[in-house]
Amino acid sequence: MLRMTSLLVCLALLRSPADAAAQDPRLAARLDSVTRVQVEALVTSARGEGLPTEPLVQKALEGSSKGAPGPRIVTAVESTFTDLRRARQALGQSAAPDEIVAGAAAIRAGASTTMVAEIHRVAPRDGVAVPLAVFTDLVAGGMTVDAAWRSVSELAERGGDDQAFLDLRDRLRPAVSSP
Amino acid sequence: MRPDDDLDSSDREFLERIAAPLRDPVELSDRVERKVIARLRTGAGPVPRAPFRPLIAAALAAGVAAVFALGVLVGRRTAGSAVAEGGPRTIEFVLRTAADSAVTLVGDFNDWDPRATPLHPGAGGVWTVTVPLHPGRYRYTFIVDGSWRRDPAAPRALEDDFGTPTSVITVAQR
Amino acid sequence: MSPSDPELVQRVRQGDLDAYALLMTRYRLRFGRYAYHLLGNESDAEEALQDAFTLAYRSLERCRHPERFAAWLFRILVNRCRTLGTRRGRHEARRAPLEAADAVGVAHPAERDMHREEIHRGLARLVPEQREAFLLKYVEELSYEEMAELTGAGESALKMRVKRACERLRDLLSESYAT
Repeated sequence: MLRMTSLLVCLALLRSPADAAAQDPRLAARLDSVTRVQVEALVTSARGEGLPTEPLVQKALEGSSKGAPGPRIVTAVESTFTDLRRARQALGQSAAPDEIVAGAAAIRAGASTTMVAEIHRVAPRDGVAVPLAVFTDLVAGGMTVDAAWRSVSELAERGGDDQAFLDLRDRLRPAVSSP
Repeated sequence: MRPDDDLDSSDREFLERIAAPLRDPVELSDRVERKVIARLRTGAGPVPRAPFRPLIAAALAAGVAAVFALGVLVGRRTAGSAVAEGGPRTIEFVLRTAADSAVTLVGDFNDWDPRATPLHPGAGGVWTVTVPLHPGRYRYTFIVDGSWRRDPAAPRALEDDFGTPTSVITVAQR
Repeated sequence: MSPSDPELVQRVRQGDLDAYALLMTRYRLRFGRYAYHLLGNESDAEEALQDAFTLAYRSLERCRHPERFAAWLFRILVNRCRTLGTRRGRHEARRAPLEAADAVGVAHPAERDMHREEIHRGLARLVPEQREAFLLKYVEELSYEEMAELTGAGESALKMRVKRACERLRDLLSESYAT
């Protein structure tokens, strides 16, 4: 991953004035120059692959707000990039940005790309973004990946809509988790 | 007989014999309707679950001592509804805290900028702010007197890349 | 000809409480049986129906398909019965429920059947999930798919609950019912 980032940085330094104009001013305002160049390279690469770029920008800004050192910010953005790419591979080229984002979170939570592809195949009534988000929330609440996946996929098979998935989550996860 | 059962025929016959007398109509009194009408006119009786609101009640019922000691109870509720399919929904973030200085909200929807979305104090130490959010999944957290505080009534975000807690809100299409 | 459910729902949404009273009467007659057998006595069944009707009225805007009002309302009732049953700890055997019902004069021809009392005692000894599954499948005669949509449980789990209910009832009930 470090090698990829270095290559992307080199390419970024060769970028044209037109590309420079596309830099996100939020990154320029909040990141040191070295970190900014690396993050912008990742954003440019993601854009080139048709992946949503806002999650990468927000990850960098989060790190900035939390006072994280530059290398940690870059690592976090790289991880998000990888998750988005895997999610898009599982969901297909026609996946909407919010579905890719939710798929990336589900993969981070432990779903395999096979699981994510399966949900897409079953095609819940309102799309896959909320079912994938609910899966992630259930795992975050302490459910095993398999149990969370069974719950979500069973409801998907029954044709649940977004509200049904959110109701399922509220029924199954603990009402209060530790701060 | 119900071939979709996993039962054998003798079990199904047994259950049919049990069930047959139970299928007769049971006529309860029409005081059911009268009591409901009376409730509806006075506002008594159970209230349907509004989005996120019962999480506050659940937090209270669970008696999470640490939360009470901290004086922080948080919850969210929708105020208004989506104007159009895919349009933004108005989400109200609520925090009850003993803080007497600054309470802000940061997240994927405001560039994690601590200056962007301050909460406003109300009666009883309840701080609120409304945020328009398009359908999607957002991570967020509160900053209370400079300390980062996850929303204990919301799902925890697993993507913890920076060692500080965050919460997640999922905004559906409607 | 009596008004249809969608017609009555429309009138209720316009503020017509009399229309709601008509709906309630219709479904008290249809659903009272389930509540009565699940909770074991008339008083609790009435409370469950009152709560379900109240909740349904207050969330009527969420009934997106008024032509399926019955199924929507029944789902609310099933959940309400579950809540009331859990709250009152009905895992242990209850006192003869029909005695209480007799005291308030429920007109029911099947009460003359002495075996009903024994069946009710048996039902009372089932765990709530098994009682619910048995009643939905064998008394309300729903498909497993419909039961899954109502309860949120998977079909295989529901079949297992019915099977366990059968085993338990065989153990509990007299030889007159055993094969």
